[in-house]
Order: sequence, then structure tokens, then C-alpha cells
Amino acid sequence: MVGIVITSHGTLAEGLRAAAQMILGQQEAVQTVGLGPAEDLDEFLTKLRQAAAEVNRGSGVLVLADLFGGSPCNTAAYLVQEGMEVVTGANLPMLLEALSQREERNPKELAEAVIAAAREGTRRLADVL
Amino acid sequence: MAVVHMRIDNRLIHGQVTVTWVQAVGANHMVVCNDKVAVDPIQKLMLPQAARGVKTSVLSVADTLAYCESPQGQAERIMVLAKFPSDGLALLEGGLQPQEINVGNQAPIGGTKFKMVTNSVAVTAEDAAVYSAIAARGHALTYKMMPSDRSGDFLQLLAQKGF
Repeated sequence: MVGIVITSHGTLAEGLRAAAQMILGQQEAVQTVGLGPAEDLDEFLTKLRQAAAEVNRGSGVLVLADLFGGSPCNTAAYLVQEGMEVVTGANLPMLLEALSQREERNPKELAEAVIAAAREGTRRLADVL
Repeated sequence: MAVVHMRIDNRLIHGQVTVTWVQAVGANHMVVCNDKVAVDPIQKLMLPQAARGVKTSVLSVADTLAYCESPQGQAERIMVLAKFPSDGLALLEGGLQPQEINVGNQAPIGGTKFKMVTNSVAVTAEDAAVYSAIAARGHALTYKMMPSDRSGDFLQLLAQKGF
């Protein structure tokens, strides 16, 4: 099972986790790391590393960051240098896919799968109805 | 000098800056200034991605000064983003003449003796000395969150907070 870390500005990460748990039930090996308004980014990186270590059950970790180019993403970029998978644009469809597929896939496969799910989940409803 | 604004913000480029400040000051080039960040390949790659299409450079203090003096720099409207107040002071001592200076975010650094003077700006005694030195060079320091806010004087705020 791939461990999941969700990281965002403020409480979005925690909100995504709560919403996913409403749908899929309690989840283990998931940590959220939200960036506070006056937070030092070196300390934030330490928190991200700690969260990744905590959720790693031996099969690796996937980090979901809210915004490409934002401070949580730019901090998570250091983890990519160290070999970790990070995907940006975290949304609920992405998280649900991550939680549903993480037993079967390795972190890189999971990263690819969640990107597809995130995109497919973004639709104009009038086109569907 | 074509430096229309200097912002002191340890988070450098982020939404508040790109969405409101760049437009408000009419900048067409953001220059991130800090010696360590200038040699960090991840920051040099990622920071411009946050810039929402605005031309962005990530330079050392020395290179920032050289660029702003250059004919190319002089022809632009540059917003300098200094990571720490000490970067700001070094730039001023090097001859930079920003039209205005605003203190944005300064996160508290673990292990230091700091006071939160606003909910986004931490100040240590060392920082206060740097801000005083900046003001002593004749620059008013504001601490507006949004460009349209009324500006308070940062030195006055420091005095109120016991610095």
C-alpha cells in the first residue's frame, strides 16, 4: 500500500482528507501537511519529510500538492530530487483514485493514474446532461 | 533606477504577490534576490512557475545590483523580492533605489527570539536593527498586506512592539 501525503495552503489538505473519508471511510497511511500563514519553509519541509516517513509502509509514498508553483509544491520539489513521487493540482477525484488504487500500484503508476482521474473529474456538466 | 518596488518576503513569489502587487506597482519583471536561493537549482526552476507569466529572475545580491544598473534593467519596471531584511539592506547599500519598500511576510525561525509584530511578520532584535538601518538611509518602510491598504510606518510599529 502506497502511503499518501496531501499538502496544501492552509486547511485544504485536511478538508480533502475529511471529504474522502466521508466517501471511503477511515483511511490509514494518510497524512496532511497544511502551510500556515507565517510558516518557515525549512520547517515545512521537515514536516513534509516526517509525514512521508510516517505513511511509508514499505511500498513508497505519493505526495499530492494543491497548486503547481505554490510554496507547498515548491517545497515538495525537494522530495522529488530524492526520488519521491509528487503530483500537483490535488482535488477530490485525485485523492479518491489514490486511495482506491494504492494497493495495486507502485508510486509512479499511482501518480499517472491519479492525474488521469483528476482530469476526467473536471467536466462541464451541461455537456454531460 | 527602474526598481518600482522592493518587497521583503521570505516566501518570495506567491499568490498575493502575483495576483495583486505586480499589477498594482506596474512591474514587468520580478527579480528574486537572495544569495542562497540564487544557487538552488530547484528554486531557480520552480519560482518562475509561480509567476503567472511575469518575467522572473532569481539572482544573488551582486547580480541583482548589476542587472538593475544595466541598460536592460533600466528599461524595465522591476519589482525586487528580497528574501530577508538583510538582503534588502545589502541592496540599498549597493546603490539600489526602490521607489517604495514594503514588508510582506517574515516567518518566525525556530530557535530565535522573535516577536510577531503583525500576524505575518516576525522580528528579532537583529532584524529590528536592519530595519532601522534601512530607515536611516531615508526609506519609508510600509507593511501593507494589499496594495490598496492604508500604509502604516513599519518603524513606528516596531517601536510600539518594544523594539
